[in-house]
Amino acid sequence: MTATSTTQGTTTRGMPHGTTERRLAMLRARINRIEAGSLVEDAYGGARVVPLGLDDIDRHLPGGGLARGAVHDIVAGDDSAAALGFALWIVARMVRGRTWLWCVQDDVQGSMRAPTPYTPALADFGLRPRRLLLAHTAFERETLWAAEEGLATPALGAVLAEAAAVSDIAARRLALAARSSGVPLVLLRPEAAVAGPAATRWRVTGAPGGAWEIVLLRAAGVFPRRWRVLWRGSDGAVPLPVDNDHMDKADDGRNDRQDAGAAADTRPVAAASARGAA
Amino acid sequence: MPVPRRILALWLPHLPAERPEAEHRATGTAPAPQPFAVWIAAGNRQLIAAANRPGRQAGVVPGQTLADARAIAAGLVTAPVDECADARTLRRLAAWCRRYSPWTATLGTYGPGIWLDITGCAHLFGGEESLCRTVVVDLARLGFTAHAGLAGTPGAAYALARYGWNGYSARSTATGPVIAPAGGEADALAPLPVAALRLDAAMVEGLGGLGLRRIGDLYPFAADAAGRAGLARRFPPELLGRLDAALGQMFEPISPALPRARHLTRFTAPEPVHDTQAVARIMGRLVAGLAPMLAREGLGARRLAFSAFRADGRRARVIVGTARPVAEAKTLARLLGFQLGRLDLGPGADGFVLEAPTVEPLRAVQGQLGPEAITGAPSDAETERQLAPLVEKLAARLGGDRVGRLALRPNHLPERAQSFERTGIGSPDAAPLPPLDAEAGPGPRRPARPLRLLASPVPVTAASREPEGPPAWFRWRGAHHRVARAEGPERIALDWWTLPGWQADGIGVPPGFDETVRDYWRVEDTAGARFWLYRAGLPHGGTPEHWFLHGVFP
Repeated sequence: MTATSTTQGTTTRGMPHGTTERRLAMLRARINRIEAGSLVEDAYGGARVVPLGLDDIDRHLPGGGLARGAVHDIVAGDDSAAALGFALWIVARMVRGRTWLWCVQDDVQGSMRAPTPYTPALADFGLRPRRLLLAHTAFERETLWAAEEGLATPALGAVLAEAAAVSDIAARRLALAARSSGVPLVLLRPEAAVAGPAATRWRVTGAPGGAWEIVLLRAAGVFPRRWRVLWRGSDGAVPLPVDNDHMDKADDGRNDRQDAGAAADTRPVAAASARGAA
Repeated sequence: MPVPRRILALWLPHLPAERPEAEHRATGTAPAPQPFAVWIAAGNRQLIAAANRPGRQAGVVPGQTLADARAIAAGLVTAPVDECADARTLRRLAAWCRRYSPWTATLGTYGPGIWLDITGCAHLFGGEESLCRTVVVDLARLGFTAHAGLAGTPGAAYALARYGWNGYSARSTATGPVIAPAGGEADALAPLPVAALRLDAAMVEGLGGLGLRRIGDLYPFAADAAGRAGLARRFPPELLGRLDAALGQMFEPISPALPRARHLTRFTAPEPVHDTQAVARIMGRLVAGLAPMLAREGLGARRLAFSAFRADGRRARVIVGTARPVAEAKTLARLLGFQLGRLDLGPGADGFVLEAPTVEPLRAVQGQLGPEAITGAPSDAETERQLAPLVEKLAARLGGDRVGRLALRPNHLPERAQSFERTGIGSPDAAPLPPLDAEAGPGPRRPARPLRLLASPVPVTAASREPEGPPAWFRWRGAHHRVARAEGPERIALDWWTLPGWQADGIGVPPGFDETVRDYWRVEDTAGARFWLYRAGLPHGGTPEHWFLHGVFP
């Protein structure tokens, strides 16, 4: 390994300045390869990185999609089910006909945090009810335990869990469990949740006109960005062109600084990635 | 008037010699019939115990010495008696005989034979004689010679089956069964030897010394108190007991050996234990004892019950179920471990019992070479097998009714359009997966449904601009939502007759308003969040509107 990197260093040293971008891209690709190599091969020989099927987002993500065997945080920005919708969209891409586990935490109040998942709507995501294994949990510790047990079962296509308070240690355990089995965990969290070692973190809110506003808060090696996606029920989802003015109004100070940075980043993809690389 | 009891006794005199041949016949490897006999060691002599038909035709009879039998029948094949195998075969035959009557038992220590309580069964086979013939013919087809005796008591039936053949009874014929009519036991038994009362040899000899050789000889003594006292003085009490039982003056039960194996292990602590760790260790030990017991029989536990008998006389118990038959000690111990914390030991417990009340045969699973080999999607059975350990663990810790699947229900009421079906944990009749085509696919367009549904609709404050129009705003969880867009209404009528307030007298008004229909609206607030609200009841001018929030859309 050391010898290789030395060789690479010497071969690229003499290159002109204009190729810094290319060098960075090469190094980034190499890191991705090394990181991907540590993932266990998916039990059914599936891809380790699963594209979302939303072109703009896939182009932005490292490796062209979301990694299996990792934790993906989705922060719900409002009371609607937009975040859950996006989570199910990801799950549907990951499971590919396999069974998946949904850990639903019962709320004492019966409030909106975890009401019943509603079967008739699952079909819109291409998810079959019979492939869903539902585990009702009573409190956070049970939820995290159930999710970890699910992650230790390679036959599962994905695990979806809803948890508010996830300690750093618990989050790390989940990440390790996901990494060693290759089963992805989609963690649905309320807005106030603290950060953890997730591979990607998103914030999703409903947007006018039946759309989702999807903000990538964090992903290894890429800048935060935001997109708007039109959810069309059983017809799937299509990315929408982002209306800059509207977005600034909608922000209304409820986003953190990271989001504000991302909000400005609404240029075409090629330009954005060029800027990011520079 | 009660139906008189009727007992059929079958006597299989040649069972030890017929058994090997019958077994060969069952496996389709029957050799050509040849003289065969089994012998039993009596002191330093070897005596013939039974012979098959060719053997008997050649002149071999039970009681001969082995040397004599060999001299009489050239080419006689012999084997020592295998009493265990005979007893096993007899038990199997007794179970097989349940096709005639549900109440069957072997004669046990009284010899190779079977009792059937056929009270009320005979007419199904065309009467008693017909039933007897059917049984005998069916047994002959299996390779066993059987003599049938039918009477009102087990003792009389046994006597007739075993001794009714040898010319003692006027009713006996070469092939027919010996049947004593109801109440006619005394007459039927009178000519039979006293040995037919299941007496031991010493007693038979003693009775013979007094000139009492036939059962009928005992009747004068048994009839009056003085005679009975005389018999009771000279012989053990079982003589009169057997006689009374055979004649129906005393009830003799038949105990059918029902196939009920219990799989349990127990541990008794020298003093009450209340330390959880000690209980965990005891549990581990009991599991280690139970697991091989199950594995030996090729069984796996579907349900485990761990009971602790407390010092105060109460019993604490935890029960876990499994998604498949499990016989590995490690898995069972782990499943029980989840529940041990719920065991209330109170003042301590000194008795522990681990039982597997529900067991199933362990199934060897063969991998399938099906379409999943091509598509990469595993079959249902394969998935179930791989997920079973996970389901067990989840059910053991969260509770069996907390893990399951959602199923669509054909009901137009939104909250009844799905049901939660617990997985088949701990019960052999696991709910099967719903068929694939019963699920809604991306088929014909349906009205949009929310992704999350509130178990019961929540009342919200809302106002609409027009009497039948969508809400202009609503307030929910402390937030004010201004409605930017609305779609609807979708009117869903309720099964009003199931609503509370509708009493048996048919008159009743639901509390506060008339909720017989709901007008559902999909609304989007100015921020872009989408909700499912409905107005309860038909709009009436002037009355306040009742709005409910029922779900949220993605």
